[in-house]
Amino acid sequence: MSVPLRLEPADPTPPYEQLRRQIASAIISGSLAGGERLPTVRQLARDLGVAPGTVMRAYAELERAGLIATRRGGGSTVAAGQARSGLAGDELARLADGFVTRARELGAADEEIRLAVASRLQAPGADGSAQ
Amino acid sequence: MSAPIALLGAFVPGLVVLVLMVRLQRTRGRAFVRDLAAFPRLQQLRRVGAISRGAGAVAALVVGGVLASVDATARLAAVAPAAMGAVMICAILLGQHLTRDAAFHAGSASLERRNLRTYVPTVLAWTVGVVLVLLASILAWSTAVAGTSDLGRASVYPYECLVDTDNGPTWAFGWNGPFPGGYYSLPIAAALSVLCVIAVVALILVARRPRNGADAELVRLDDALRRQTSEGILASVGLAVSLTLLGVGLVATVAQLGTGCEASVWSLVTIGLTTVGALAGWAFSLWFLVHALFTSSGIRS
Repeated sequence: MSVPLRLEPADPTPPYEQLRRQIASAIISGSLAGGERLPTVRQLARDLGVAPGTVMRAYAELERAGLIATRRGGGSTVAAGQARSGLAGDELARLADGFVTRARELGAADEEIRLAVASRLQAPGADGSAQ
Repeated sequence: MSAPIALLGAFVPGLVVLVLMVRLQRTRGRAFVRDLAAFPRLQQLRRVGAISRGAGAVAALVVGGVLASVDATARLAAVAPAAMGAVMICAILLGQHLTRDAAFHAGSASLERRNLRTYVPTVLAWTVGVVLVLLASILAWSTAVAGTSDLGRASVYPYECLVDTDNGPTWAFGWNGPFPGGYYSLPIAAALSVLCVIAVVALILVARRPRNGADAELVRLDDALRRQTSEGILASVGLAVSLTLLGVGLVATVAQLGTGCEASVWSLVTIGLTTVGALAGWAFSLWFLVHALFTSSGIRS
């Protein structure tokens, strides 16, 4: 399956992070199935017009997160069992994008954004049990 | 002068039939050209591709003519088809290089894997394989049976047989040449191996040409153009192998027929093999020439 990727030059997010986010979103939403092979670093870098290091870093982050597996000489493949509910994955990625963009517009640092999310997750009723 | 005219006479009718066949099956090609109008850079890639194929064919003819005429031993003539194929592929690659960004859009791509198998036409690839196997079989046999000429070259067909004379049966022996022994077959094998490597590299480069995979219509048309280019490259290899097979088959057949010996079962088999090789070389040369110059639309339904 072919998943479109777009790097926004106006986005202050580094290109590797934009790439990582879009690929992660495609894996979590189920657009990319487990075992599906990703393009080679060189091919994707050439297609996007970025340095190979950018794609390499995005792949490395995805591998660290357990979303893809890379074998020497065998390329990178999507790790099995990473897809969540398709709709939830898409929606979550969209919500997160909006939240992060808005928070950055307000001048929040990445650490502050992470802390804000973590504190909301730990707040009473955040697990959805309390009404 | 009569031999080239006879050769041309044998080629032209077959060529006309094959060109007509290709033109008939290109009805979908017209719609393809219309669709390309929305992508001027792809249109340019297609134009440059056609020009490079034509220019490559002309350059290949010149190179082939020069190689065939400069060497009295005809050793260079034996590798001329491979050199011609290499020239044609290089011309195609030059065209690709000049328009390599035709489908590229910075910052836009898709997670698609492309490799040389994505664009190689299967039937054409199998046909090249069959012709290669036939040529390799004839070359292996001719190299094994070839004798050494008085110049020390493995380039003659030795024979020895009983011939009825007025004094009863006597042994007749001698050799006929030229014959595709090691003196010719080894350079041919080396040249065709190099050509195959060049073709594989070219096919990889075609698959790797960058593109904006996020645009589905661009991907459809660009895929077709890549298939056309791959077809041109593969057909150039096929043409080189077929022309070599035609030459090797003809030379080997003529050398075997001129012995004056009574044909044995084994000699009938080998003459049959080389004759089939020559005929197949002739027929496939036409087939590959048409594919090299007039590639199909590349559109898949």
